[in-house]
Amino acid sequence: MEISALEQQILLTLLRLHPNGYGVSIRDELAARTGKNYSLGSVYSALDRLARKGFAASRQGEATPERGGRAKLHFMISGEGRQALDQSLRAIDALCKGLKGAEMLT
Amino acid sequence: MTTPKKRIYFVLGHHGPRPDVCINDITGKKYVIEMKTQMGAAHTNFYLTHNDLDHAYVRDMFIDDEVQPPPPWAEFLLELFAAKKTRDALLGDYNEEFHKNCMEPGGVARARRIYWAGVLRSLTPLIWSKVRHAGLFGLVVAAVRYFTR
Repeated sequence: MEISALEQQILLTLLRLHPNGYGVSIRDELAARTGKNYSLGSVYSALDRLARKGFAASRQGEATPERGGRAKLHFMISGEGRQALDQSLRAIDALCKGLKGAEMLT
Repeated sequence: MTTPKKRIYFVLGHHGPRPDVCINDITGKKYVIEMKTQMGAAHTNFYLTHNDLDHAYVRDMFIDDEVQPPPPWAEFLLELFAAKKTRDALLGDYNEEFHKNCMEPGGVARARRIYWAGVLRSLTPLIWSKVRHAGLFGLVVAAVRYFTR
């Protein structure tokens, strides 16, 4: 199953934050590493799609007063998600192979 | 008659006051203090005298009125369009950010502006995601269900 660029980035972020990635931390990590400032709505929509495809799983975390008593939802990459990510990264590697540095920059 | 309360947020250094002190200050007014240590642990609702504050090593301090809830209309829009499974988590994340922003210079007014901006940016992907999965008709049904619950 295909994954979009944002889904790919989120899966990589889930690997980095494993096992405690949740909405805010995922969005902040994406901003710090890619410079893209996604809204929480975009992040949750992508996480929702990944969960529907079986590429991400979630578990409920702690609820705090700062969160208005609402629990965090921690996301993790699943085995299928890992396979899809590897496949997608291999495809990008294959496309990059043989390109010279200057061509890759343009 | 109850004493008007203000909430003081302060960031402590290493040698802050004990969180269990409970004394009126010299003006007789009580302040609700929310303490955030550098380690990120939060303790709430204890009182300090000016004397205590002199002895405390307070790194930074922000004073605000009673803790405000996030903008209700913005919350309502999120509730309406967020996916059922992640609705609580999304609202909780926005709440967490709102409270963090309240403690920064600019206070509640700035935190509300940021909250609204975040929600408006989130609406397009949330609505699009809902339309894709439930269709336009499904979106209308969800809205009707929400208003008639």
